Amino acid sequence: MGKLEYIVQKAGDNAYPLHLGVDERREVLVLQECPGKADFDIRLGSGAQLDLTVISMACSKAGACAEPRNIVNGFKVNLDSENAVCNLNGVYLVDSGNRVTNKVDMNHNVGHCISNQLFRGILWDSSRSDFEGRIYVAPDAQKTEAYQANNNIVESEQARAHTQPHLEIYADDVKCSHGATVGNKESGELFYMQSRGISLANAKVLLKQAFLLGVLEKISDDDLKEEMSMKILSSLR
Amino acid sequence: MGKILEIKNLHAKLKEGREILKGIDLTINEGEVHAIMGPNGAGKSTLSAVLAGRDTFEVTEGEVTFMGENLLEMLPEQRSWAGIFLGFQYPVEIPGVSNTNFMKAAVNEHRKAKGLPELSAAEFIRMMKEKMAIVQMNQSFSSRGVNVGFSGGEKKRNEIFQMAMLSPKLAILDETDSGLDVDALRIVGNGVTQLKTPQNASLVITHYQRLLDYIVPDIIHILYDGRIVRTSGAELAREVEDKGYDWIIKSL
Ligand SMILES: Nc1ncnc2c1ncn2[C@@H]1O[C@H](COP(=O)(O)OP(=O)(O)OP(=O)(O)O)[C@@H](O)[C@H]1O
Ligand SMILES: [Mg+2]
Repeated sequence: MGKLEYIVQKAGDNAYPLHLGVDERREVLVLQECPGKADFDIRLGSGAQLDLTVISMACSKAGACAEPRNIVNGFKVNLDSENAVCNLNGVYLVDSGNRVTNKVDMNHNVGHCISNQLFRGILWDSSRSDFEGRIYVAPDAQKTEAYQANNNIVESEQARAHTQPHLEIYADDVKCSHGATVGNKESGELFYMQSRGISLANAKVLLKQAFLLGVLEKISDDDLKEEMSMKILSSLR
Repeated sequence: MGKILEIKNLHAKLKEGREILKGIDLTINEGEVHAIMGPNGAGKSTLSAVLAGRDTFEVTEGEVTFMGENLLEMLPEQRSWAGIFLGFQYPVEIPGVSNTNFMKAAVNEHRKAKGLPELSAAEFIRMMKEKMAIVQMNQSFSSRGVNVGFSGGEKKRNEIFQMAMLSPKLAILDETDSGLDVDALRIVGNGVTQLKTPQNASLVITHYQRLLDYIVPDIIHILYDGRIVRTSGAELAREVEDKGYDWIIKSL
């Protein structure tokens, strides 16, 4: 794989045309710490692979931008050539009255392509997240594989995580799955950790770290993975 | 011989209602090994969970003193720091938290509670290696998620490894022998025996004599319907294995 492209997003409107040629591979990491909007326009040539990870830090401990730190991401993906692979990964930390939106429009217009969506977030205070994930598989897009998962940890009564999968599958020889969870951490895991002497607060942080690590481990560059982990870790509570 | 644990008239119920423990009395001294046997659903795991501080149960009556302190007032992690260890009947899987990071967090919190500095990375790794050897656990387990994908027997070995790392004053082993093949049983049995000192104690919950061949108990208790209905010497285990519990229950 080519070198990872790391982008620190600016406040305001941002456009990301990601058009990959035949057999081209790109890995892009976008860090968002300011309010703004991002439009990802993704088109993949045959045999191309895109690995895109977007980290949305809409929380007070991160970045230098003022509140409210609302972040809106739109991912418009068109898979028009066979054997393309599109991996979309998202992490979001949202607190106070902030809001993060991830809207995915994944179009399998032809067959033999693979798409993966993995979005995980933690919400505090009176924050809100919206995940809208549309998967479209055209009538003759056979041998499509399209997967989607959105998991949320909601840390306060006032926070809201909305998740809305939307599947339109018109081909029959496909593998598709979607799953969404909204919840708090499993009490069995916490008790197990406490019983080993890990205090409740630390146990919760360890579990949140593990939860987000499930997405961060997709970043291929070890230094950047470490940097993002540290950044996120210092924002956890 | 110092007293480690003293349970007096302990009653506990499920948070939503039903009483499970109906008046338990039990005293454990330094150097002793106690075994608890009893039919399914008698309340053995409930007793161990209550001692470890699981909040799905509510203590409604009675006292528990551990090393001279009121155990029931402590949080689960404080009980661990004080020297209680629970080997779970069903160890919990924690995806994404490696065995190493899990134990590092645990060991360092124990040290902090004792006013000791954190271990250096090298010291910690040396300690892990040494303790893994006690249960013949492969090094490759250290980087894996806690219990994730471990076989039933590997999970139980991991429990004893964790016990070795934390050197508890009282180890409560809830059916650590179930799911073990003959070799793993020997490894776990010998592991627990190695960890025994004249200053600590264990409470072994089991259905079978086979673990007790390694960890020979001084005293065996039969728990039935939330009460200890019989207390006797080590020979009772064999009798239970031969004849079941009916004869004890009928004689009540
Ligand atoms: N969280 C719970 N919710 C509902 N019932 C429970 C819960 N925990 C325990 N019980 C009930 O309490 C009783 C005692 O259970 P416990 O697990 O203590 O039994 P045990 O003696 O350990 O049995 P076993 O030998 O099968 O492990 C059982 O009837 C069980 O169904
Ligand atoms: Mg049990």
